[in-house]
Amino acid sequence: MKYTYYPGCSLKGTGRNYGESLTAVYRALDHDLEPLADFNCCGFIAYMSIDQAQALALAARNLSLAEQGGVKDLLTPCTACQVVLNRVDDFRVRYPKLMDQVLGTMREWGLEYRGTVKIKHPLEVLYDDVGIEAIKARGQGKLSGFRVACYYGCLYNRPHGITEERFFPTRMEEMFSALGIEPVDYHLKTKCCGGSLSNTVEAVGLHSIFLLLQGAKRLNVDAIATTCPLCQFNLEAYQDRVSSMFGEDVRVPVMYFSQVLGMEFGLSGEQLGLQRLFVPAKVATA
Amino acid sequence: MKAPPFLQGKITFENQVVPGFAAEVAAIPGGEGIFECLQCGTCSGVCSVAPYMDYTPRRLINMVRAGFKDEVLHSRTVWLCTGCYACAVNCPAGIHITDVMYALKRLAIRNGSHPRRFPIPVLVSEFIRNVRRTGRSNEAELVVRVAMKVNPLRLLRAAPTGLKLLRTGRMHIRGAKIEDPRRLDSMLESVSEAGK
Repeated sequence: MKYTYYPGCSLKGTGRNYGESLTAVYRALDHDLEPLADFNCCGFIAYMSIDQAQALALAARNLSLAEQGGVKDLLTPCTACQVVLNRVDDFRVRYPKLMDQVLGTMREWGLEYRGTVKIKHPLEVLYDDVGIEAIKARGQGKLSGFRVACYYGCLYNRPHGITEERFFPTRMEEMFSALGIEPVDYHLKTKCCGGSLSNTVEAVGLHSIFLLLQGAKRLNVDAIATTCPLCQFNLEAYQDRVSSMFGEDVRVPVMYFSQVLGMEFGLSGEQLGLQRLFVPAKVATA
Repeated sequence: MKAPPFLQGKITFENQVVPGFAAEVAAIPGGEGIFECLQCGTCSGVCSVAPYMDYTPRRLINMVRAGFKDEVLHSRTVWLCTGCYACAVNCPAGIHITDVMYALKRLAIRNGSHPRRFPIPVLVSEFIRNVRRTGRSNEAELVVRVAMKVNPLRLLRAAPTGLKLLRTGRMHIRGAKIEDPRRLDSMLESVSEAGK
């Protein structure tokens, strides 16, 4: 089957290996991933802080492009993009007047959106649609006993998604367990990584990152697996600094869940973009 | 009435509050919930950045209701909110607290009353400039621009990370563009007119 995904800005930049590994893993399961053509920035949290109508229009343009291209499920690997794109449908219900204005103006610009596109995280699609059985069948036992802290970050299931899973999602753990990988009980899995604070108010951002890394490190993991490019970057890029800042060595490999899956499937490091990691995982790959 | 010197900056007197402020916030989509707040403090309890804020979210909401406009719009609290929605999904009164924070950010920007030289409002405006020009955001350019405005010394500290990103092929020097960024820019302009 062919899926269309919304790369957002980071999958073209710092999260390049997220896109690469997702495409490779989906390919290994006989599914094709294609980026949405001519997508624009979702607006992140920044746009909402300046202009509400414009922020919604920016997100809605992507949905409109997807709808016009016949896309039903738009795979959105970045959880921040996921929340921002989801907000369009959420606001249609909560603030119909505002949304009528926004979508009405967009229609004059040839951008119709009727609300038929569903935003899904690629992990959710693997679990719900591809199915654990198919994934298990593809496993090669390469990572048995590999200890992973599954870190979903704050926005994976918030504010949308299933209530019970807003703080304790388990899809990644279930998938890994089925493959013989060992997910640890990581209690911080939906705590916010601080988002852009790491680059703005460092005192706050770096402290948040330290706490997350320390929590995983103390569980003696081989790697942290993430579902969001911003989380991955935050947890990986500042390890040296927070280790010396807070006087505790918290250095640990931080990978995308798709890279972990790909390693288990026996895909090459190159295909998964493992060479782009700052802290490589200590495991033999094909 | 002017406060005696030893109390200045500590106490807000009744004639300094803005009674219409609560209504102003409540009128913004996302702000309508503030009158439902029970002051239970759940939001502050689950907030992962509350310990670093000047006022906790619970307190900020009550300050809005009491008309402490100046203090609210100058606070760091609204800018430290990362938008993680922990408060919103836990609020027993069903208030969309994250949306309230966004509404307060917009008011602070419109009033020009965000804390001076605080990096987040700078990041936000630079980000939007970037998106308006190309339709996409360029992470590398953004980091440089924010650092130049806030504290150029940051660039030195960010340099090793930048080099690592370059070496691993994770940085785009020249940002990507959508096909017709100027059309998107004009559309955004007209959307904003319609939203007024």
